[in-house]
Amino acid sequence: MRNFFLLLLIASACNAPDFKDFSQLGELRIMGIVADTPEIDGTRSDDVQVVLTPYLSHISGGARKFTVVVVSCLDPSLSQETNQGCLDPKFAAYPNGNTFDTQVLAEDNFTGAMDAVTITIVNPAAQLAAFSPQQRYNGVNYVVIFRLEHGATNLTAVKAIPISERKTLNRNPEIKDITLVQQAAAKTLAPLNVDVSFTDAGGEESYTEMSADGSIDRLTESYFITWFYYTGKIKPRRILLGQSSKYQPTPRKNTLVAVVRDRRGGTAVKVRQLPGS
Amino acid sequence: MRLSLCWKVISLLLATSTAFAGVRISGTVFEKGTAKPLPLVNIFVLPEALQTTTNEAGEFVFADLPEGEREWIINVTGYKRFKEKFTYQKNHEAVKIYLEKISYTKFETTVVGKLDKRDPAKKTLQQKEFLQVPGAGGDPVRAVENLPGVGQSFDANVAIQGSPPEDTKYLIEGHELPFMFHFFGLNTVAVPETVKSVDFLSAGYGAEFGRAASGIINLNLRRPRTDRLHGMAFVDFTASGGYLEGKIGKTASRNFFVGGRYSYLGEVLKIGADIARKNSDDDNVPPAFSTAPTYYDFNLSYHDDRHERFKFSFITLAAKDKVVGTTSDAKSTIFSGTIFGEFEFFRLIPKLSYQFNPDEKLETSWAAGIDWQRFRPGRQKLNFTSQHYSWRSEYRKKFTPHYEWAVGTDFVYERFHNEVRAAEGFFSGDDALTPLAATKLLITEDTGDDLRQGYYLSNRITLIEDKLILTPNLRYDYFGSHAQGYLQPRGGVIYRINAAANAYFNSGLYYQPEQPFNLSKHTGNPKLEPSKSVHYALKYEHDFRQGSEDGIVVTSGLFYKDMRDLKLRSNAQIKTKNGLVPERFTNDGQGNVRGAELLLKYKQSRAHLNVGYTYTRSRRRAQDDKDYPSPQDQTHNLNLSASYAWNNYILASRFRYVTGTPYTPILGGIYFENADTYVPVSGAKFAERNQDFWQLDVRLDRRWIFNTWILSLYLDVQNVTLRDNQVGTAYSFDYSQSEPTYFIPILPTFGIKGEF
Repeated sequence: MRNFFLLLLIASACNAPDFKDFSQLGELRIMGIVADTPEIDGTRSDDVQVVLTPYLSHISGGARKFTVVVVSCLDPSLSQETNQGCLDPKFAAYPNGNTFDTQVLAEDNFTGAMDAVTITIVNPAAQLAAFSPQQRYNGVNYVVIFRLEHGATNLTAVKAIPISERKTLNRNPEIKDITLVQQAAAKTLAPLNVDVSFTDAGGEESYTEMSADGSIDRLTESYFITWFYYTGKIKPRRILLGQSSKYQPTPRKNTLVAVVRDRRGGTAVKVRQLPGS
Repeated sequence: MRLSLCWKVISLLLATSTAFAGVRISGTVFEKGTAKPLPLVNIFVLPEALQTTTNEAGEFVFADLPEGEREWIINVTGYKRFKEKFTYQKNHEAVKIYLEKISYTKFETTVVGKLDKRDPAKKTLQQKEFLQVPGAGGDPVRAVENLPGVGQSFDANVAIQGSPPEDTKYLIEGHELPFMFHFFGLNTVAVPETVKSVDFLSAGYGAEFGRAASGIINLNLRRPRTDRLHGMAFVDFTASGGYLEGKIGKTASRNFFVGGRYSYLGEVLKIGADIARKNSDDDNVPPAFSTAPTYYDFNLSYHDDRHERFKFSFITLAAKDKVVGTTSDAKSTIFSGTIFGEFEFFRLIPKLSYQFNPDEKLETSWAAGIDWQRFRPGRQKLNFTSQHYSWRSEYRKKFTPHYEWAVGTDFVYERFHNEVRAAEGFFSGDDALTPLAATKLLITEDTGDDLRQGYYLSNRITLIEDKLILTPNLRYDYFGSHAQGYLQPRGGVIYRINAAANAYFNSGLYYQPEQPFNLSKHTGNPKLEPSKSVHYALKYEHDFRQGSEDGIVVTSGLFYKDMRDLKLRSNAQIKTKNGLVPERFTNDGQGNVRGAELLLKYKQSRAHLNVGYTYTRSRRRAQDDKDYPSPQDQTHNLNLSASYAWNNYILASRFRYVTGTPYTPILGGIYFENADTYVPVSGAKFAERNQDFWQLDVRLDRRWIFNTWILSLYLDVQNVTLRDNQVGTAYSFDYSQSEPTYFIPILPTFGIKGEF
């Protein structure tokens, strides 16, 4: 077990470094990648196509034309030893000659959905065949690696899509809207606090997992929501379903993004532009 | 003329007899502070120069003292001169005299030169050494850091001669515990004053112990004092506790010891965390403790020496750590929410020994207990429960003045039940950098047994008029979890060059079994083999004191360890009859450690100086791969400690310098969308080093001696120069920024203790 407690003691006593904010938009970021099918039927022997849509933000970079390379393969395991190298990479053709120009997102503060790309998973059943029953049931990841480059600016993002033999496959969560609920102002000149939450049309699904001895456990998803923003502040920036965050706006116009994940590969993204005051 | 002379004689006799028709005075002489009775003390009463001597119980009687005021004088070596006037009459109550020692801070003498140690690879720290050494906070295991061959770490875990801390086995009274330190690295699970000594066994250690590739730390608990009831209570910055000890009944043949400690360190941490939270940004929010972290430990023992040859004792140990908090770490989707941790165990340890004759003895002890480790970060769960039973037994016989042997057993049986619903990354090993959130969720439940059998034979052959001693030993271990047995020859040679100098050579083969969760098909690799290590150690010891207590003792040595079948993480999938499964670990690791040690101990009356230096080169590699430094490759390790005692004060300081530890640099990060986290892209293994470590610690002890009790105060300040010692490196969420992280800049501890 990792030496958690000693780190806890040090963390509780020491000042933290002044690093950049996880949720603050500005530099090139991919905030989420939505697969239209977040889980693939591993009993199918015909080829399966999956459409993936990355959501990008590059507010401080403005309009740039990125070279996009999309590679996919069965998971080589995400760890420091393998360095995410596919042994048998499959290259997918990205629209517009393997490029994406952020100019198309200019009106949305250079934040929004990129062009979708379609990848083909050849004979999922054959890809699973060699694995143990537990791994076939719970899923073996098929990873799709996006690499964006423009000069010295580059980013690599990985989306893992499990191929499994489950009878009921995973679905993406849905976001209806981002709701800002205004609170009564304090008797100061400070900005108003607002509650920020989202309502979802879907809901946490129940699903099954096989343990090593073959028994099936029934579990329930646990959504978590990550907020991104350009100005102002949102606290806390990561919440569970049912919780809400507080938003401290500024007079500048702002971009708010909510990304909800079900921790099983399902993702939903909502972008909202807020005018300045 | 004759008649007047007679009358004069008669008158004189009458006068004398009247003068000596006096008072009967009885009493006892004690040592001040400890109230220990002092035998064979001469007491003089002036002006008559009457004298008596105390008996074995410190008691004395003056049968016929003149009434009125008299001056009493007592002069005993090692004690201040006693001179007081008493006035007494008939039926005077018993007198109690308390003699004050010249110094209550005199150091224990270490006799070196006359070799009688069973295992030359063993060094032992006595209680007085570890209680007062600066920088250790009185902790017996932390004090081991002062010895050469021990790596520097920011927690109490001990890395011996370039090997990882997990290759060190921790024992109490020869028996294993599930954890030796509270919160896995704070301080030992026993009140320091209950520990008599700490044994430190390093390269080439003997056959009595095993299942540790690097070395052994064994705590020996103190036996109760039996002259009367004794006790101690203490309060310091982090904990309070105490003990009681004494005899049961009128004789000292049955005695007991009970002690314990409770820590409120968590209250201090809670305050610190609350302050840090107010000042933090959302990326680095320390946890909020809803219940302050606490720990306690407890020790109870009973000893029965009524029979001359047969001895029985019973020891009970228990310890518990608990923490409950909440955290909303924006970087982690694992640790958000409530964090609950509870770790506890108890042990019952009965011990028997039978002395057949001065040359033949049988000792046996058992340990039984239960271990619970429950850890629930956020929605994850890791519960480990095990029943533990162990048995050690040794029969020792001296056949001739030149040959003796010992045969023994060393068994451990555990029945475990593990429930896991957590990120697989918890089991990847401490060198894993991949965020836990990026690893798969593991759901398993395991129940099983693990039997580890050990047998050993130790021999000691003395030749050439006791100048040469051979110690050929053999150990056999059967590891149930690996379903295999391993023969391990060990042994050494001791050569007495002269009365002041000895040379030693020790060597041996050591196997270390894998932890059960590394062998589980759920979390590890069932085909993993134990790691193997071959040790060689050469040592020279010279005592320059020529029989005196003061002077210099120098010990120097070389060591080499060759390590095979080390565990390495693997990302491969391997074929089984059920299809491909993750391999997780292999035995492809190899390594070696080479080094040199020097220890110089100087003592002069009230002053003490120790200089320890270790040079270490510790390398690792995977098969057919380039080698790299191990995390324990601390090239230079210099330890200087000094102390001076006067008038019931002790001032001690320790300076330590250690080469920075290697680490693997991170070159950047890749966004893993499923877990909304970045995975590091690492550079060459352990190619960079942290900043060099150096630290100055100071400790001041002061005692006040009262008749029947002693009050002690201490102030222990670690890192008085506020040196920023690097613990590691912190990275931004995408690994594009980095900064060194430092340990607590200064750590003062203040404590007060009363003992009687």
